[in-house]
Formats: sequence, C-alpha cells, structure tokens
Amino acid sequence: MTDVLLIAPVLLPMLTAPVVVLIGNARIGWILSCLAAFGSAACAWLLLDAVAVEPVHYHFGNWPPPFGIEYVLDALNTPLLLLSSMAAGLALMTATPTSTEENFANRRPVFYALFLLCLAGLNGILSTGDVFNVFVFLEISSLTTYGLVAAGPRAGSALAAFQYLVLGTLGGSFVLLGIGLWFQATGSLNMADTRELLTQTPYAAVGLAGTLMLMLGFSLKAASFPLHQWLPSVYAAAPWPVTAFLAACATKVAIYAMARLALEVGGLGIQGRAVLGFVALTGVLWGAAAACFQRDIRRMLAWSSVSQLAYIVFAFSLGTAAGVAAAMVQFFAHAAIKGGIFLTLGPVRSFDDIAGLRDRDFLRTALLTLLTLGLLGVPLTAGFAAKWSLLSAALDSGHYIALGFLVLGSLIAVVYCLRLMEPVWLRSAPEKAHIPPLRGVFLVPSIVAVIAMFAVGTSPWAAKWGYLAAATLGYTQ
Amino acid sequence: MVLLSQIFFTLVGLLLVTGLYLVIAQDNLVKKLLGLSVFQTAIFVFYLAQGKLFPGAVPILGGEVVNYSHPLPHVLILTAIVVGIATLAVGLSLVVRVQEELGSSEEDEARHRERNP
Amino acid sequence: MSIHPLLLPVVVPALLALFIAVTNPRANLREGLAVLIGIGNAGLWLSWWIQGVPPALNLIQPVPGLTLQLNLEPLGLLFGTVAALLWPVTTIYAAGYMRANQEKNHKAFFAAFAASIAGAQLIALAGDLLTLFVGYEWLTLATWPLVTHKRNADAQRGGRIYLGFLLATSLGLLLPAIVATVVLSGRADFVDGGLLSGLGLSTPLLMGLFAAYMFGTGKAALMPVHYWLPAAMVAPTPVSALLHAVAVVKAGVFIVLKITIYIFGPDLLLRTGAANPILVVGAASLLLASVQAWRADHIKQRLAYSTVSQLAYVSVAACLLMPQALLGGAIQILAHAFGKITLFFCAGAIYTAAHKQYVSELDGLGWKMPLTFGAFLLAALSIIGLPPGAGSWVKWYIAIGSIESGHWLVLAVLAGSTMLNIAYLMPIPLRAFLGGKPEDRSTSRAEAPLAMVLPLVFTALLTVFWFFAVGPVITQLSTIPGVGHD
Repeated sequence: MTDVLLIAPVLLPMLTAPVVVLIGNARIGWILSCLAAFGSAACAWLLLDAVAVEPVHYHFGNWPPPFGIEYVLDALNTPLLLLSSMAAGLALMTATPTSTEENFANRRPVFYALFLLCLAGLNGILSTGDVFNVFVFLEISSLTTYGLVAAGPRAGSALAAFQYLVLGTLGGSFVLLGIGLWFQATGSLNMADTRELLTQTPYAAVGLAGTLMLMLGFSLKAASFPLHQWLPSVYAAAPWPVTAFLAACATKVAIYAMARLALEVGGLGIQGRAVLGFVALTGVLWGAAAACFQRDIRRMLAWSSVSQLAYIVFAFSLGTAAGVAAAMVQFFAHAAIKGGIFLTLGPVRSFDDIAGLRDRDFLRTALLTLLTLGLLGVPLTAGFAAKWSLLSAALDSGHYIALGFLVLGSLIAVVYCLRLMEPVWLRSAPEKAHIPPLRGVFLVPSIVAVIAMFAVGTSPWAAKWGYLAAATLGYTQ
Repeated sequence: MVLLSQIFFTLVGLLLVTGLYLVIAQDNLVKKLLGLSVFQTAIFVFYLAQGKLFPGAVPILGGEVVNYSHPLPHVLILTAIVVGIATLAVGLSLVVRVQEELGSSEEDEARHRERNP
Repeated sequence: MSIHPLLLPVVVPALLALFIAVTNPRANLREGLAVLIGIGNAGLWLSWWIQGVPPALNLIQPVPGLTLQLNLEPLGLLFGTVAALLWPVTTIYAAGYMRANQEKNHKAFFAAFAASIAGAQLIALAGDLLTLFVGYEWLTLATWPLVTHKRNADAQRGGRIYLGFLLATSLGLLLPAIVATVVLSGRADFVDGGLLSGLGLSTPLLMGLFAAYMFGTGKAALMPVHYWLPAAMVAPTPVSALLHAVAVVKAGVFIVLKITIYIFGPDLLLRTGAANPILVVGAASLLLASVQAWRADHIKQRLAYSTVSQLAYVSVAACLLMPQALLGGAIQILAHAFGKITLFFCAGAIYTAAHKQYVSELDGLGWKMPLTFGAFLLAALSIIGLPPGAGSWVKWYIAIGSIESGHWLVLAVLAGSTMLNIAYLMPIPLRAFLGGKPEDRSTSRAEAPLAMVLPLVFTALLTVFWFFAVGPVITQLSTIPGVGHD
C-alpha cells in the first residue's frame, strides 16, 4: 500500500494528462485534473505518518540502489509534496472550463494536461532519490511551464515564455553539467550513494565544481537573487491560475532541490554557506525594494516573491535545525499567502482594478486584506510564524547582522503591502468596474488559502515538520 | 591519454562559452536558440567524453576484452538529447508566436512593441 | 458550553465588529448595541476589582515551545478597566459627532472602533510577550481605517505616517527585542521581579534591549518616534479621543511599564543603570513636547503634543525605577486617560458647535458653551496636576520617586513642564471666558448636541472623582512587587 502511495503523486497526474487530452472534453478534463491533483495531495497526506518515523523507499523494477532508480520520501519532501499538489489542485479549480483568461481557450484539455504534467514534474523532483532523475523531472516541469506561461492573455506572453525558456534551459543545462561532474567524481547517480562517495573521492575539486554548477542551475530555476530577472515578467504574463501555481510552489521546488543536492548531497562547506546566505540577504532587500517601485500589481508581487524566496535560501544556508525549520515554515507560509493573493486577485493586473474594492466586492476585499496581513507578517498568520522562526534561527546561530537585514526586509515589505491596501481601502471606485466579483468556485481556493495561512500561523505543525526534516538531514537540535 | 582528455575538455569549455555568448549577445530569437543548442551540445560531449576509454570496447561481455567503455553516459545523454530537441521545438514555436503577435523576432524590437502596442 | 471570562473582553467586541461589518445594521441598533455591550464590558472589568481576577488561561501554541496566554495582573486590570469604561462613553460621543458633522461610512467606523477596543483589551490581558505583540499589531491595524476615515489625500498621508511609524518600530525593534528575549531566556511570560534578571546579562546588552523595547513601543510616543501622533490628527475627533486617550497611547505606556516591571525588573535595571539613557530621552521628550504644545495654535495639534509630553511622564517614571515613581506612572494611565479624553471631546464639541479649530479663535466662546469649557477647565487642571484633578497624584508620586532616586534634574524638568502645561492649557478656557470684548459675550447657549456634551461632562466629573477615589487603585497596584508605598 505504501508503495502505491509513494509513486502516486508523480504517476497520478502524469497518467491523467493524456487521458484528459484523449477525452477532449473541457469540463470532464477540468474535473479529472482537479481530482488528480487533490488525489496526489491525499496520497502525500496519508504518507505523512510513515515518513515521520523514517524515510520510505521505493525501488523501481526492484533494482536495488545505487544501480536502480529509487524514490525516497522523508520528512523534508513529503510535506512539500502535499504543498505542491494542494496548490496545483486549488489553482486548477480556478481555471474553469468557461474561463476566458487563457489564450488558447479553445484547447482547454491541452492546458489541463500541461498543468498536470508540470505538477508531475515538480512532484518527481521532490520524490526522487536519483540525481539524473531530478534533471529529467526538472525539464518536464520546465517545458510544460513554458507552454502554460505562453497561454497568457497578453500579446507579450509568448515573449515572456521565450525568455523564461532561454534562462530555464540554461539553468537546466547547468544542472546537467553539475550532475555530469558529480558522476565523474563518484561514478554514481544515487543521492545517498553520491553523498557518501563525494566525501571520499580523490577528485574533491571535481565534486565541488559539480556542486557549484548545480547551485547555479537551481538558483536560476528558483529565481534566487541575483538570477531572478525572468520571474517578474513571467508572473505578469501567465494566466493567473498558472501565476498562482508558480508562485505557490514551482520556485520552491527548485529551492528544495538546491537544498537537497547542493547543501545536503554536495555538502557545501561553511564558506559556501556564508556566501549563499549573504547573497540571499541581499536578495531579501533588493527584491523588497524593487517591489515598492512596480507599476503592475503582479510585478510588485513577483518582486516580493524574490524577496520572500530569499528568506528560504537564507534559512537553509544557516545549516542548523532551527534554520531548516524556519525554511519549512516559510515554504508553507509563502505558498499559502502569495498563492492565495494571486488567486484572490484573479484577473486583476493594475492598481486601478482594485481601486475602491471595499465598496463593491466585500468578500474579495476581506480575503485579500487577510492575506496581505499575512504577507506583512502580522501575528497569528503564517507570515509571522515564518518571520519568528527565521529571526530566532538567525539569533540562535549568532548572525546579528543577518538579523538586521531580515528586519529591514520586513520593514520594506510594509511599503508594498500598503501599496496593495491603499487602493482597496482608500481610493474611490471607478465608474464601471470590469473585474467581476469573486464568487462561487473562485472563492474556494482563496478561503482555503486563508485557512491554511491561519492554521500554519497558529499551530507549530510546519515547524514540527521542519525539525523532523532537519533530523533526517542529520542536523541536531 | 591525459592529453587527449584535456583536449576534449578544453573543447567542451570552448563550446560552452560559445553557446553562452550566443545566447547573451544575439538579439535574434532564433539565433539565441541556436546558441542554446550549442551550449547543450557541449554538455552532451562532456558526458560522452567521460564514458569513452582508449582502448575500450562496446560493453558486451565476451572475447578477450579487458576495458569496456562506460555505457551509462550514453544512456543519460540519449535522454538529455530528447529533452534538448523538445526544448528547441517549444522554443521555435514560441518564436513563431512572438513573430505573429508582435511582428518581430528580434528581442529588443518585440519587447518595444509589447510595451507600446 | 462555558467561555473563560478572560476571553470575553476580546471576543465580544471582535464579534461586534464582525457583526457590524457583515450585516450593516441600522444606525440606532448598531450604536445602541455598541453602548450596551460597552457598558456590560465595563461592568465585567469593574467586577474583577471587587471579586478578584479570573485565573490565567492558556491559548494556542503558534511556535514550538511558546504558548499564548491571558493572565490579568493589577497593571493590566487598571489599563483594561480604563479602556472598558471609556469605550461606551466614546461610542455615545462618536454617535453624536458623526451625525452632527455628516461624516460618511459609519459602518466601517463603528466596526473598526469595536475591533480597536478588542485589541486594546487583549494587550491588557496579555500574559506573555507574544500575546502582547498580537494585541499591539491588532490595535495598530484596526485603528488604521479610523485614522484614514475621511479617505482623502490628507487622510492617506496621515495613515501612511501612522502605520509607517507604528509598524516600523514594532517590526523593526519590538519584535527583534521579543525574539532576543525568548532566545536568551527560553520563555516569554511576565514574571514578578523580571524575566531577564538572574541571567547574568551584560549591561550593554541590557541597555540595547531596553532601548529596543522603549523605542519599539512606538505607541508610547517617546521622541523621536512620537511623530505619528500629531500626524494621526487627520482622523475625526472621536478617533483622536480614542487614540490619544483610551486605547493606543495608553497601550504604549502600559507596555513600557509592563516591560520594565516584569521583563527586566526594577532591581536589575537599577543595579546596571541600563535605563539611564532612556531616562534622559524621556525627560527631553517631556520638556520638548510641552514646548511644541505651547507653540501650536491648532487645538488638536496642541493636545497631541500635550499627549506626547504626558506619555513621557510614564516613560520617565518607568526609568526612575522607584516604587513610588512606578506607582505614579501607573496612575497616569488612569488620570491622563480621563483628562485627555475630556479635552478631545471638548475640541470636537467646539468644532461641531462653532466650527473653530484654533486657540486664537476662541475669544468669548465660553459664554456660549459654558458646559464644554467648564469641563475643559476641570480636565486641564487634572492634566496640569492641580487638585482636584486626579493628575495631582501622578505628579506627586513621580516627584517623590525622582527625589528618592536622587535625580534632581528630573525634578526640575517636571517643574518646568508643569509651568508649560499651565501655559498651553489654561489660555483655552481663559480666552473663552475672559477674552474678547465684554459686549460680544452673548449669553445665548450654543452647545454641541447632547450626545456629545453629556460624555464630556461625565468624563470631566470623573477626573475629579478619581482624585478622591484613587485609594483602591493604589491598593491594587501596590500588590505588584516593587511598586507602591515602599
């Protein structure tokens, strides 16, 4: 039974995708896609108890590692598997068969199939214990993402997708190069095996070069400062269910891969971590500051993501149990908050679209305000839990200067949160509003996001998983 | 032997840099894609080079063969080539759409038209 | 199902806010309900004075190892009761003011009003730093719609300064200070004698931490983080009354006292001298704000700077660390609340009835509005510290504290500030009654609506009442170790 649950988050969406295309009916395809995504989430949920005790392995074709490909689910990737599948399901819910948002509205089953394949790719990166498998799944998720972004309603969406393709492929190629260098140093592709061999190999320099290449590649995919330039235009160009999905988990999966491969398998040393942490802190400030100057809401939120993702990278770079816990909390916090904000905004693109929103769309205003409070890091929301664990993790390991950077970043966040709230609450509504009110099925994901935000903010659940994950990575509390 | 592999890896490095240069410096979207392909091919060569031994036979058991070439890099690169082709295809189709929607396949001009429709 | 009594003051106003925001009830129902709930809430708080406070309550655990808890102690009881008593009074006043001045969007106003009170009472009830911070941010955010109520460019600017200063100080200094406290001590609850005492922390660290707490509590308006207070004057007058008398600034100085007494402990601070830099800042703030108030012509502006100065009394009292000074600081929460809210009520009444906003325009107005200016006079006496105003006790105890601790300069500052208090507060009633030409003093009454005059007369009388009835308050506060008569 565990075996089925283990591979289901990858196989379920992957196998549903062709079915959706073959059936060809938009409505059925929509329902099937949502079911597949939520089914994956359910499988991840059911696995949580098992992986809390010890990592669960699945050997494909019964080939024992290090020869065969294995999937390893542990306390670090299983919660993220739940996160990505839930995010995909909720985002898919808003991509209704009758939506006119996407460019190829007449080929909706293809859109759903791409979405599912993207999810399968991300889940594959999370699940696999094989280094080369990571590359394959990375490319599956990337190729489908290019298609999804190009489905955006703007004329420039194809251009944005193309630019993303160029940078994404470069990133993927660096990953491939890194894997090749590791293979040269160790002769193995299995993660656990590579980890062992990298510490013994006489070609340590080659191994280190591979680690750095992987880091470079995943930084590009994760839009990690300073390789983040593609992110704002992609978020602005994509259809909003795609933007929400990308914001909620695509970049986070790349950060996961970076943490798992470069930090854990590659065993990046203390200097490397320090550099990584410093660059991330710069990214925190840079992203937040840039967000304050954007004229387009989505670009502003995208820059905010650059800043918020850098928090996760910084947390991982600490190399302590508290750091991993902080990263885990921020994974969930940012996914719920930013994904929720994009889903609640829906087709909104400019600040004029939300002017006087409180006078005409109370529900959207309430949900958006709550989520923005989360982004601000108000107590009881997930944003606060993340900030708290991050600050105490930094203080715990004596990084006082880092504390200053983090605090400054959260202060700049006040500015862009206020930029979001001022039109909603203080400006007066335009004569005619062309954004329809948030109703029906579109409400559900936003409400789930808000509930998730408060759940993570008021219970130590995410932090608990963070500490369990830290234990599997070998950090002691 | 060492010399040969060093020549190989130098070649790989040259190809990598050439590809990267093309991607960054070229304004034309198709040329960018070509650069990308060169970049990827360099990595393919890098993989294949590390699998080959001189003298090294095809990895099939039998005879008095002492050294076998490593088959795994070939298999991996087969996958990577497929990925590369798929990327190229998606990229080219995106270029077609950019040309259709914005009337240019030069990056700067397309971006300019996007901002000032 | 029974609900823990400590939850009521937070949950009930919050539910009221939600009810108003979602169902948008008719005006009379809405305000009637708010006043009734407010009176019930005040009764609940008063009953705790007689029957003793309910036991502490553990809430949720948002981060591993830290539990949010409600735990009422004498200081919180005092602050909560003040807020609870003034809420229904302010609601009545606000109902009169909003109608008389044809302000718009009453729904949002009264909803945010109730939500702010819930936040303030959560601060009063907080049993640990994290809960305190929750209430602090809640109060900041719930008052933002009130400050920006007019929704014009001025309101937007005022709102930005208000939110900017309060969030920047709380996220930038208070939160890191709280995190540092938790990392250092492993816990976050308030402890008699001080959570941080006995940890053997170095003086520079304590000094920095204390400064972070004091400046981080932006609501206490210690200079230079007082800037938000005058800027928030764009709000309608009932909001100014709520902000500057009841909820926001009192929450600030309440936190200052609470941190001093329960987190650091007077003994620790006295031993290390870590509070001395803030004592200097507080004294300077006290004097400078008085000067600014004296120079301001706009009535509300003058009152705002007066508030900054009066809040600094509490900060100075906290830094003097003497039992009597701390007692005086705590009584200031009570005395200044009733005094200053009366002054703001009067300013609003003057604006509503006569459309006057500047001190220089008040000549002879006293004869038209004798009740308003009479109340103003009583409240001004209390703020200055003259009998029969409750403020006399504040000045008395803080002065004793400064003599005991040997800070003679502080005593001089207090004296100087009292002179300035007289100089900037007394001209208002004096001009109103004695200014202008005698023939202009028409005796025809032109008071503000009854819903506004009644509250201000009530609160003015209460300032006198507290002068005589301060005994139970002192008894209650003296149960805190290190506070009260020796």
